[in-house]
Amino acid sequence: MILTTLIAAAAGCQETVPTAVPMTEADVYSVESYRTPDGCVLEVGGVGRFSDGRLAVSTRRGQVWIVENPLAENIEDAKITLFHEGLWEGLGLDIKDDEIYVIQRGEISKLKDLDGDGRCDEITTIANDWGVSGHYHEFAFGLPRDSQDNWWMSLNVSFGDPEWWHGRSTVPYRGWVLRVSPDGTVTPWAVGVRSPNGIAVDSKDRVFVTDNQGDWVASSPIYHIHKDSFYGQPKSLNWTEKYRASGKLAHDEIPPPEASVGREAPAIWIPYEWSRSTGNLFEDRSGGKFGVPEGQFVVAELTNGMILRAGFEEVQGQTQGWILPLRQEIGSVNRVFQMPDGTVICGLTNRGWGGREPADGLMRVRYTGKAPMEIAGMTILDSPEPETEDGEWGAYGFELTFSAPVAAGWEPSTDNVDFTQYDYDYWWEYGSPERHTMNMELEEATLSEDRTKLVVRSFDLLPAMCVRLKLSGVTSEQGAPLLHDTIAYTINQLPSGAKTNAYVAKVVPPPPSRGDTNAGVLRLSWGDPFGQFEYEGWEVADAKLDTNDKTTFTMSTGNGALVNSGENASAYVTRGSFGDAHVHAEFMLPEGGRGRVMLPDVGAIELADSPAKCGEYGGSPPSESAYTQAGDWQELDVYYRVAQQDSPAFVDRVVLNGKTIHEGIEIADATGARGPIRFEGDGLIALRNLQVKPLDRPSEEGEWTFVDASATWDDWDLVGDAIFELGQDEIVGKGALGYLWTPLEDLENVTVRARVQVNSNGAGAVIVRAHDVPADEFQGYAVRLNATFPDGALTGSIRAGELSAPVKSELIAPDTWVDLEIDVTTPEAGGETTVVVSLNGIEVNRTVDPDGDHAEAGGLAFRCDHDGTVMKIRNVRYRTK
Amino acid sequence: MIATLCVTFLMAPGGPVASPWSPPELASDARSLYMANCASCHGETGDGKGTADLDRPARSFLDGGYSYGNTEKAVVRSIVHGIPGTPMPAFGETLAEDQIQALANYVIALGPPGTVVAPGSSVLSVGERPLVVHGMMPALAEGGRREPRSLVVGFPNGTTFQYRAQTGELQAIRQGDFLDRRDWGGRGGTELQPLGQVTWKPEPIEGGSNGQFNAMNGDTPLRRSFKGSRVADNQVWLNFDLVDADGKDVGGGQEFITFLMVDGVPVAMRSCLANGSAKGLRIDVSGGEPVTELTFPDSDPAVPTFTVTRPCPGLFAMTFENGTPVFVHAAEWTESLESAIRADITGATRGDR
Repeated sequence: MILTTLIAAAAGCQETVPTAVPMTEADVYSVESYRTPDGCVLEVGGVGRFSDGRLAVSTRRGQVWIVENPLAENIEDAKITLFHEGLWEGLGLDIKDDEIYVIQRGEISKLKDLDGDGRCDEITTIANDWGVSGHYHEFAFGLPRDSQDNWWMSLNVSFGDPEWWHGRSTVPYRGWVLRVSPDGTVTPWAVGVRSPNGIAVDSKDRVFVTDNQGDWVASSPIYHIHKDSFYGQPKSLNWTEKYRASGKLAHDEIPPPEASVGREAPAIWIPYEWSRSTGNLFEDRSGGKFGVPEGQFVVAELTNGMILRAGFEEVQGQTQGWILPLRQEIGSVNRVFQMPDGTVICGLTNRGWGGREPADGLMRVRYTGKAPMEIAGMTILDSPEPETEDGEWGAYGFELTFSAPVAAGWEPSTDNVDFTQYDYDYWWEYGSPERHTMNMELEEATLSEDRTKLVVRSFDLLPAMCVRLKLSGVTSEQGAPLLHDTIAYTINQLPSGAKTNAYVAKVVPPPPSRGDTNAGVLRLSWGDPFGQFEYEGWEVADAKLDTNDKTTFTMSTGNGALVNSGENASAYVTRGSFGDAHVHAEFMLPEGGRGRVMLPDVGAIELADSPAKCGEYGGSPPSESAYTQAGDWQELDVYYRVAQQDSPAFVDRVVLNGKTIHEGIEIADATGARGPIRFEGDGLIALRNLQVKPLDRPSEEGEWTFVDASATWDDWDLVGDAIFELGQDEIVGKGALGYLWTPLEDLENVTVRARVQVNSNGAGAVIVRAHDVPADEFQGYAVRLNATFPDGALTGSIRAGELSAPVKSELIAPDTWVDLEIDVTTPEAGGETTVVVSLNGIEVNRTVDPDGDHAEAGGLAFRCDHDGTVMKIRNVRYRTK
Repeated sequence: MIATLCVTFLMAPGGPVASPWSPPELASDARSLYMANCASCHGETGDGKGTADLDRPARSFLDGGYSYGNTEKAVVRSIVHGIPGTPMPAFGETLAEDQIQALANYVIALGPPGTVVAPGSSVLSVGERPLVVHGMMPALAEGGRREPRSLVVGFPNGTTFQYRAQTGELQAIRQGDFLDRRDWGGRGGTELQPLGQVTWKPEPIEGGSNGQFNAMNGDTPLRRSFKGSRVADNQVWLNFDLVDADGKDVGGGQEFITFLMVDGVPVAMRSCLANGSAKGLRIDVSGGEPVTELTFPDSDPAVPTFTVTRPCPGLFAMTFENGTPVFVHAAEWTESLESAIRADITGATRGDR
C-alpha cells in the first residue's frame, strides 16, 4: 500500500517525469530560501496559512510576518511584510477562520487588523491560565488544532533543581501538555515533558509531542499524548492533584514512584546522531505530492539542520514506530508546515540553541518528482512460533518496504544487513548514551519475490529496546542508491506474548540519589562542553572495529566516542589537577592496540588489547583476566590516593569490567603531588564517559578558617555606592559599584571558599589579595559572579588589572547558589602566580599571572558591579598554605 | 538635502563643519529657526541659559546628553510632541517637518561629536501610533521583583506606560526612547530594558497604590484580568475581565489612554469603564483630598460635573457625575487643562472613540 502510494505519486507528476536516476537528496527535494526584507530576522516559531494562500509566520522576536504569494514559481516573487511586533515570543501560530492566533510565553492571543491597513490593531487574550516565573527556559509551544477546534500547547520546565541544568517546575503547569478549548478554557492534559518544542495533531486527532534530550530524557523522543499520562520528567508532577493534595514536591523523591510504574513510553526515540534538538512535526496529508506516503510524518530538526520521516503503528495497545532522515542541509529547521500542493515550508531558528546554518529564515522544500530509492516504511512482525512453555519466544522481526524493487544481485545476508538493538538509562543526568548495544543474530533475512519487501527476523529481538537496521549495497533496478540506508525502530511491545512492563529508558539501579549529585564530578560524555580537557587530534564520532582491518576503526557521524584519529594526536588531559580521586573511563581498542591512564602520584594503568596485560599496574599483571576483545567497550574504574604527610600513596582498587584486578597497593616513593589525569593511546584508542570524582579527605576540612561576619561585622568596611547588609545567615550586597572589605589581611598562598549567588543581569566579584582600591580600580585577583549580564565575563572569570581570563558560558544560572573556590598560589614571592577557580568543585578556570604583577599580599573583598545587582554570600572560609 | 547636510555635520571629526558643496543658507536657516523658537530657553549658544524665567533650567545642548534620547528620531520626537511635565512645548503644529528635522540636527550638532548612538538592532521604537509590547520588565525598585507578565504601552510622543498584566496596575510612566528587546539575544526569555526615564510612579496607599482604577463589587475589590489591547492614533484601550476572589468572572471593562494638548504640551489622560453581571459593580480611583470642585450646568448633559482630587504630585483624579473615573497626569491644575478636559469630556467618558 505504501509502495503503491510512493510510485503513484511519482507517476502523477506528469510535467516532471523522472529522466535521471536520483542519486542524492538534492535530486529529490529542492530547497529554496525566501528573501526577507532589510532588517528582518525570521526566527521562526510558527507558520499558518490563510484561505487565500498567504502565510503568517510568528517569530521568537515576537513579530508576525505575512508572506504573500508563497508558492510563486519564482520564489523572489513572494513578498514578506510585517503585520505586528511586540509579542513575547511566538513559538506557535494557527490560522482559524482566517484570523491569526499566536502562542506567546504568557498567553494565546488573537491578532486582528481592524482597519484593513495590513497591521494588527487589536490583540485579544484567548487563554493565559498558566504560570510564568520569569526563568528564560519557560518557553510555550503550540499551536495545532484538533477536529473539535481545541488548541494544543506545551510548556517547558525551567532550570535549577538542583543543578542549573536540572528541570524545575515552580509555577503551574511547567512541563505539561495542555488543551485549550475554543472558549479559552485550559485543561492540563498530560505531565512530564521537559522541553517539548514540537506538537502536532494528526487526522485521527492523535496528539504527538517532541521533546529535547536532557535530565530524565535520554535522547529526543516523540510522545503520543494521552490524558493524565506521565512522560518522564518528574518535576512537573508538582501540579498533579496527587502531589498537590499530599503537599509533597516531586523533587523530594527522585525518581518518583511514577517513574517505574505508570510512565508512558515515547512512541519513537530518535537516535542522537540524527536529532539533538527536535522541532515540530506534521502528518503528510498531501496525497503523495511531497513524495512521502500519505499518513507518514515529517519531523523538524535544528542541530543537524534537516527534516526526518517517521511512521507509527499500534502494537498491543501501545504506539511505536520508525524514523529515518529525509532531507538534510536545509538549516536549523524549527518548524515544518505543509501546503496543499505538498510543498513543505521550513521555518528556521537556532539562536542560543545551536544548529546548522542557515540559522534563521524561511525555506521552501519541494519534491522534484524524481522518485528516490528509499525504505518506504517498516512494520514489526509477529513470531511464527508462539511463546514456548519455558518462556522462550520465537523469532520476531520486521518487514521493510522499498519504494522500488531492489536490483538483481543483492541478496540480504549478515554481510549487508547490520541489525542491532540498544536501550537507554533513565536518570537525572543530561541524556543517556545508548546502552546494552547488541548485534542481533539473523534468523531470517529474505527479499520478497517482487524484490520490494525485506523480512528480517532474530531470536534476540526484545521488547523495550530500540532497533537500528542498516543495509549496505542496496540499489534500485535503475541503479539509484538507497538514499538513506539506516532506519531506527522503537519496540515498546512485541506483537504477541505477555506485554512487558519495561521501558526503553530504564531506571538505573540503584538510581543515583540527589545527595550524590554531580558536584565535584568531572564528566565527559559527549565532547567537552565545559572545556575541561586539553587535547589535539581527537574527534567525536561513532566508532567501531573495521571488519576488514581489525587494527583500525570505522568512524561515522555520531557522538558515541572520542577517538585520537588525527595525525600526531596528543594525550587527552584534564585541565584541572587532582589529588585523591575515583576515575571512571570506558575505552575501546583495535587489535594490537595499547594505551594507558596516567594518574598523579600513583602512575599508569596500562590498557592493552590483551586479557593478560590489560590493567597491568606497576609491572603487576591483572589478578584475573577481565578484558574481553578488540572492538568491545571496556569499563575501567580506579580508586587512588596521593601521598600525604602521614600516609603513603595508595591504589585502593582497580576494577575492569566489574572485576577487581588490583587492590590495596601502596606506593613507596610517591611525592604527594596533585596533577592532571592523562588518557593516552600509543595508536588508536576510543574513549567515552570519562568521569573523575575527587575524593576529599575529611581531615582537610578542619584546616579551614570560617569567616564569622556576625562576630566581626563592625570591622568590615564599605567603600563606594553599594549596600551590603548582614542577614540571618548571609550577606546581601546591592549595587551600584561598591566594595565590602572583610577584616582579613595579608593573604598570600590561600584558598578561599564561599557559597554565592547573583541575580539576573547583576554582577559582582570576590577579590582575593585585594588592596587599596579607588572606586574604579583595584589590585588583586577578582573572580566574577555574573550569570547573564552581557559583558562577556560570566561567573568564574578571573580579572586582575590587564590580566583577564573570562568564562563565556553560563555555567551557573541567576539566583542560583554556587560553591565558589578560589585558589591563589605564588611559589616564589613576587613571582609567577597561579589562580584557579572551581564552581561546585569543578575547576572551570586556571590562569597564570606570569610576572606576579598582582601578586602582592592583600585582603578579601566583595564587590557589586552595577546598579540593580543583588548578590548573596554565605559560608566564607579560607585556608592558607 | 537638509538631512544629508546634517549627517555631514555629525560625521565630521572635531565638530560641525559645513560641507563645501552645501548651501550655507540652510545652516543659517536652522540657526534662525533655533534663535526664534529655542534660544529664549536654551540660550543663544545652546548652553541652557536662556532669558525665559523657567521653574527649572532648560537643557544645555553643549553637553551632549538628552533626557529622552540623543538619536535624531528622539530629538525630533521631543520637538514635535514636547516633553510632558516640563515647560518644553510641542512644535508639531507650528513648525514644518523639514524645519523640525533641521532643528533637531542643529541642536544635536551643538553637542560634542560622537554622541549620536545608532539604535541597536534590538531597540524597538514607537512609530506613528502606539505600540503595546508584552514581556518581562526588570524590578522597578532595588531588591524588588521583576515583572514577568508586563504590558508596556508606548506612545509616539515618547511616553511609556508600564502595566502589570495580571492586575491591571499601572507601575510606571517613562519618558524617552522606548525599549531594548534584550530578549532578542541569547536564548531569549530575558528582561526587556526600558530606555526612557521614570517620570511618575504610583505611591503606596492603604490597600494598594495611587493612580489606579479599582474595580469594586459593593465593598469587595475585584481583580482585573487582562484580556487584550487595541490601538489607534494616539489612543490605546486595555481590555480586562473582572474577577472576584473565587476566580469567578463577574464582568469586564477597559482602561483608555490618550493625550490632550494643553498649551502645546501633551498631557496623559486615562479613563476606565466597566460593565458586568455583578451587583453594584463600579470603578473607583485611588484617593486623596479634593483640591478643587468644579460644577458644570446640570442643564447641559454633554458637560457633566466632576470633582477633582490630587492623590500625589503629577496626578489629578476626577470622577464625573455619571461615574466615569479619570486620571490626568499633569504638573498642575490650570485653566487651560480644565478647558481641554471640558472639550474632551465626551470622549473621555465614552471611552469608545
